[in-house]
Amino acid sequence: MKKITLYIFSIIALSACTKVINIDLNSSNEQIVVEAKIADDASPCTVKLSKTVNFSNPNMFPAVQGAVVKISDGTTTETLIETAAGVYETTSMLGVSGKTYSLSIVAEGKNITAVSTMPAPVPLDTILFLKSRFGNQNGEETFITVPRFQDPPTPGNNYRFIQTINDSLDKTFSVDNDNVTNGLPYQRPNFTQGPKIRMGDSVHFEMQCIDRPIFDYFTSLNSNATTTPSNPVTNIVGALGYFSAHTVVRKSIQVK
Amino acid sequence: MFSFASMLNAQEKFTLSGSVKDKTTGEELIGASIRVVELPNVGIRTNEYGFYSLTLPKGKYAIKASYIGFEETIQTINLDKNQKVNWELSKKGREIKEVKISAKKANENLTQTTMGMEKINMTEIAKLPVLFGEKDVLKTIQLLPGVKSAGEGNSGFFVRGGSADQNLILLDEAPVYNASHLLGFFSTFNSDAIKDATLIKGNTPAQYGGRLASVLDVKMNEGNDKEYHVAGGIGLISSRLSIEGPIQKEKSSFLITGRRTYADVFLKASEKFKDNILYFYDFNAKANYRINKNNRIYLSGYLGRDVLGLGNQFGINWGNKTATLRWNSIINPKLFSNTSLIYSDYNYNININGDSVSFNINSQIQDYNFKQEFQYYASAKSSWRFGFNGIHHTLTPSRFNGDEDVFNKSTRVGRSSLENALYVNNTYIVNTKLSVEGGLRLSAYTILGGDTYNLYDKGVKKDSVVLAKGAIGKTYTNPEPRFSISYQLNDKSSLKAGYARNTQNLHLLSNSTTTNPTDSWIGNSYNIKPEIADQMSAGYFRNFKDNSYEFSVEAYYKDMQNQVDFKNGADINTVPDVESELLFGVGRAYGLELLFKKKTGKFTGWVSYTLSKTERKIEGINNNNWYNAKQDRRHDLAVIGTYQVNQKWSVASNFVLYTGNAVTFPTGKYIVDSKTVFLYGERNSNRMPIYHRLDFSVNYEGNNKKKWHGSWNFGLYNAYGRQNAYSIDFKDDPNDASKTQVVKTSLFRWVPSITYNFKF
Repeated sequence: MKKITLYIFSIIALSACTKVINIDLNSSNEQIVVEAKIADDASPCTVKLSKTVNFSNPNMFPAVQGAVVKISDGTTTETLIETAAGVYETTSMLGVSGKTYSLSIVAEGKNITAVSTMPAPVPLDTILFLKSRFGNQNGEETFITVPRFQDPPTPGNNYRFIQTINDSLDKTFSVDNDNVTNGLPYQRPNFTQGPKIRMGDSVHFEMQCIDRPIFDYFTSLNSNATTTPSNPVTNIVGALGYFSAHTVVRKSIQVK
Repeated sequence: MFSFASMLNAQEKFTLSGSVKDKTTGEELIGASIRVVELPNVGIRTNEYGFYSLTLPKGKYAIKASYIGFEETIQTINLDKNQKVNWELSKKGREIKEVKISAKKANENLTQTTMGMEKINMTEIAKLPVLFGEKDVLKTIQLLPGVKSAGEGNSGFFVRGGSADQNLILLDEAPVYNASHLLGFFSTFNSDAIKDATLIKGNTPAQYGGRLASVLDVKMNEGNDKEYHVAGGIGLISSRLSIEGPIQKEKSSFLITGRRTYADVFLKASEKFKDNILYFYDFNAKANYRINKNNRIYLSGYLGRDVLGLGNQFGINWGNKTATLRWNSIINPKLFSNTSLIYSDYNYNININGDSVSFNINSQIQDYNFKQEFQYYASAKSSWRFGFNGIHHTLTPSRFNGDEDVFNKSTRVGRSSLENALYVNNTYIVNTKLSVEGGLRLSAYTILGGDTYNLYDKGVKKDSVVLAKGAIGKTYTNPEPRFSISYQLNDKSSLKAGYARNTQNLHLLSNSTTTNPTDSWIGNSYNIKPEIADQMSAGYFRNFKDNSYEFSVEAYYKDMQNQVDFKNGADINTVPDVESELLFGVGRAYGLELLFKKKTGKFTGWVSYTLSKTERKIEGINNNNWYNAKQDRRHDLAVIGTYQVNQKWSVASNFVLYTGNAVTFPTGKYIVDSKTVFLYGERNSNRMPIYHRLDFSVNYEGNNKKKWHGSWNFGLYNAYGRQNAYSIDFKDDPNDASKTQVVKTSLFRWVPSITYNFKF
């Protein structure tokens, strides 16, 4: 829906011009940011800890090192090992659907916790491509990915789509739920603000089944583009960021 | 010894009544003044149908009728029985010299009791420069104190700290839910067809209700009942045409007007935009018929639509439809009645058509309205208005629908309700210095069956009420007292004060920083209570140089309850029940408004300045602390001038300046999944940059000798091309991934317009 609003504005603002300006912005105290995920593809649980910086600083986000990061699946608890600056990984715990994972972090004297439940997996049938001229120079035709899969009959499925075009990550946070497609074949175009897809491009598509708090997190992050911005609703207690236990399906397709 | 007053009371009284009309067109004049030359403080103004009634002791009187822009007319009446006396006034010739205006007529601003009321003179605004050259009531009221524009590219306006949905906009009594075309660039009012427009900033008399902040009451012309005329205008972006005339001379008349933009015709020339569709149209039609000298019926309708799209892949359209049937009846010389049946519809549709998927989102609001009002002119001192207004609403929240193989059918249904009000209002002239207006409106909102209503506590569903079709649910009742008082210190100045309580039962759910046509309306429910505003205002009014100059200063304080907002990250369109996303709280607004006007001579104009603050405190937002409402702007200044060079040429200019709206800017940034994300602090604690702009226009009136009259209007919007900020965005530098930057988007620099207007 936000995307539609942005489309309306881009039509109207035909004569709009943009200019880079300088503004004095307030600054705030440093806060810790958690990017944590565990998936069902036998990859380790990865937790990245970094810090916020002032707006005028360069985009270098200091890693939080030497933190104590633990994950529990209800029966076992494992302490993660710092494999790179601010990156902590498990060596044995595997992600399993249906389990609820609890994360506990002690970093720079702060206690941080988070909980996420991994949903049941949903298979991805295929990726289709939708032709579009929208927003393209000279009426060029580009493509939009359309994931095709069957949404399970019970309501409450939430999805995240991550795509890479020719090794260039599309950084759009793309999430959706089954509010309007419950129990039906899902076939909605994945509109993004990322790199344009052209004939011959290689597309790596990742579909995740995420839990409701993660859907809310990315939806509230996206809504900052069109509504009064605020910090997103998060499932992390004591820090910014998110902890997502999700299932993963990947497909690679070349546009023919 | 009798006093003169008691002698007046002891005598027999008779009533003088009738109408005041424009001699050339036959249009009734609203608010024309009828005064008794021998009794300087006795007088009345015509109502919205041009009717007046004045009860005086038996005697001989010189009665004077006057209306701004028209020649005063006096008739001598020997009042020895109830009499019907009608007036037909002639339009004044173009004023070149300083004109002395009789003090009694011109000091209406001092004496009228209703506070915060501005009447917009349609001939005055005709020359003001506006964007794209379209003269526009909505743009003009934004130049008055206390009224703030929502900004370029935004529809709506804010009155005394209220939000855009807190203004009741009426077109011939029918509510218009979205009074803007193309996101605010044009309004839905075709100025050719407007007779009168009045804005009341919160202290509305009891016959008005339903919105907290203001009432904009727009009345259309009835159509010339003596001869046929065609008028229109051709502009760079849009054109309009109107046809009017008698159906039966002096017994019935009609008026049809239409307007369309064709900006998209230009787009077809550009390769990038050739598939873009961008236009709107609107269409008004009216007819009226005099059944006999005491009864008249009117039928009017409005249809407007905006269409935006991209080829057939994507389209969005929205618009209003209204229809009104009215019956005026003069029951006796002191009692006037108006009965109205009104239908109003607003809806929008968004269509997406891809190769593999198509869906549509739509929302609608439909009203059926019955109104009965009596106006009783009890005496020269006292007049009453009382009546009943009942509306049946059907509100269908936004519904997502598509191919049923691929999309669930939406479970959202239309909700029905009844919004009723009973009111009584009295205007009483206590003595030569003091007059008061007091009234009570009793409003009731009843939820009707046909849907399930959930109750939430902090977003968590607590309970459910299932109302079967035909069942009657909860009723919210609210008494709304209204009061104002006007005290004339002397014949040059007056003091006024007023208090009003207003309630609002329909709420516009707007989840964005701008007002979109896709915002949807929702009525009260078991969760959503009626919004209530209590406003107190006081003012000092002073005229100079025989009423050629007007000065006023007005201060107000307003308290608002049951204000609605969305929680962070709310998903309005697809969530099963939009009420699960709502948060509630309170608001307050206060300010000082200054207005200085020069009304006569070659050079006329005004300066308006507002100093104000408006805040909200919503549970669940900003840690439950007070924060600036997004429409909070500290200073607003408008300077308007029109210079009549000679009979043919006039020039006009506007200067507008205002400090920035309250916005939320980042206080830092961090990384999430390789993407730079911004950190925010307190809500709305930052400001947009200051906005200012100068517009010019030049008007040339052609020959008036032959039947054809043409005029040219040349305008330049934003004469010094200032790049005022439409939005400020924060993003990664596209040329340097290690940095973020602040980007300002501006919409309009210099926008010229040329319009040719004609009438025959």
